[in-house]
Amino acid sequence: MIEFKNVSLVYPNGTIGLQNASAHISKGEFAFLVGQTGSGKSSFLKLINREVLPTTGEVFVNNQLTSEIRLQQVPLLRRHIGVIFQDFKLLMHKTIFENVAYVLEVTGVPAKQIPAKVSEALKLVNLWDKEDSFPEQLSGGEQQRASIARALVNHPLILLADEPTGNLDPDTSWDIMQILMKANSRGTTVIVATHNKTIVDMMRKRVIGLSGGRIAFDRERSGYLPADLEMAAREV
Amino acid sequence: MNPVYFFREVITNLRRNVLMNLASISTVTVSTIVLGLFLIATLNLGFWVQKIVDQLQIVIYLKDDVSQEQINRLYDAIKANPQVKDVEFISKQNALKRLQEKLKILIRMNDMPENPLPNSFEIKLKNSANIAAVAKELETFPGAENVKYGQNIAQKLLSLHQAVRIGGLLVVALSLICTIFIIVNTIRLTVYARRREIRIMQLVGAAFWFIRWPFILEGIMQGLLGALPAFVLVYLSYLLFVPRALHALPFIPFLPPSGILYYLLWTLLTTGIVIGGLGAFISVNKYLNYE
Ligand SMILES: Nc1ncnc2c1ncn2[C@@H]1O[C@H](COP(=O)(O)OP(=O)(O)O)[C@@H](O)[C@H]1O
Ligand SMILES: [Mg+2]
Repeated sequence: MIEFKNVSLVYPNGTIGLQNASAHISKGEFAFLVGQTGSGKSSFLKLINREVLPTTGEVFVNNQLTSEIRLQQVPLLRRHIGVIFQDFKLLMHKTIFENVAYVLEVTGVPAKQIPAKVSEALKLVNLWDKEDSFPEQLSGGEQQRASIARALVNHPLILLADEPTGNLDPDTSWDIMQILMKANSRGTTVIVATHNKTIVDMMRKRVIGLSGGRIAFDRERSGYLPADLEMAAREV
Repeated sequence: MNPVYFFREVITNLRRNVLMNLASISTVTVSTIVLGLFLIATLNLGFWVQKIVDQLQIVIYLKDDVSQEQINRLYDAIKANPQVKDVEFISKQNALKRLQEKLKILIRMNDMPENPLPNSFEIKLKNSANIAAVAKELETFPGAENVKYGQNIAQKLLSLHQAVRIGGLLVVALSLICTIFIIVNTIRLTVYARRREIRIMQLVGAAFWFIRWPFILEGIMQGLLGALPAFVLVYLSYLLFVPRALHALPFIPFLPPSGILYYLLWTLLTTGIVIGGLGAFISVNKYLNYE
């Protein structure tokens, strides 16, 4: 489903986002991406969404080499990928309902089917009573849940979550993880970037540890492993 | 593609960003009002000069020994000239009568041995620009004593006419350019305010045209909603202005309002609509990521 082959990403200003990273994530997998701020978690996700292209190496998503996808085809790729952005990226001039509906509208879902699908997604994140609010009228946690509803509404093949519990209290964080697990159990490949040690340790899923843009470890049924990350950081 | 979706999108956006939209719509209104005023001024100036030029005529004074039959033949020949719009024969007697009316005195025939005024033809041309050439041609007619067309004044008038035409075109073109610049800039600002949204739309899988269309329609709407009141205002003002102006300055001709209606409507609305849409298109493309 997702394959990184010796991927390096250097930003235009010379900052290294990712360095010689290789990993394979199969269809239906659930993987955590852990590491300190600046370790390259967001960069990893942006490469999948083709927000950025690798400077060297190859990224395959759904058997497509991202650097070979034509510009006009990029939206089609993104329609298979739901993203929960670190900064939510909600459309400020649209209501919560319209934000979620937009993802369906861009794919040409018939107008009649949209309200039911949107309601379903908003109920999933327990936000259906806020559907007529604008993003700025919501708390950070509610905006986060709105962005989750948007990411899930068209049942994407891949779900990328960038710090989805970053602004939430432990209870709500746990609810969010349940939602992501549920999506995963329906067959969606889920990748969660986080530095929430508690959650990672409890879930016992595959964990890819990033340190300074390098993959420090990649283990099944693992915890956060801060010691391994530190060691990798010292090696550089 | 679903036009209903795009229109709903545009209406909602206009309603939600009332202040932003009012600002840009009123900017369009002000700049198209200026454009409209320049257009009216230019059209009127052209109209005045045209009026004066239209009064230019060639007068052929005939020798006294020319017979009626020759006069008829001459009349037919002049009439047959493709450049001639209108020809009128002024007999000696009519010429005298006109002179009397003009001078408001009665010239008593008895005081004069005979009527000193000659028979003449007064000729108006379809295009006064050719007046010199046609006059030269008419000089060769048998029986023509003297051909006059106000040589000096005609030349000056004709070059003035030309200057007014070119100048008017320049003035209108210049104010059109200013209007375009202002409208494009205004629309650019409204799009700029939403550049983040454009990026988000791209990130959640919206195709280029799906993002562009609502913005273009919104630009067209802003242009239309801005230019329409400008047209109404300028036209109504002119409607009120003309009768007063004609009353106060009876010797200056003004174009009747109906004569400028279509120019004004057409120029202002197309400027608003085309530039609004185009400005939005250019602006959206600027913030769309093509990498
Ligand atoms: N758009 C960008 N331009 C330049 N440098 C960037 C950009 N985005 C991220 N970086 C840098 O790349 C490195 C990795 O960042 P990121 O992938 O955002 O890490 P994380 O999500 O783990 O905090 C950091 O040093 C960061 O400053
Ligand atoms: Mg990040």
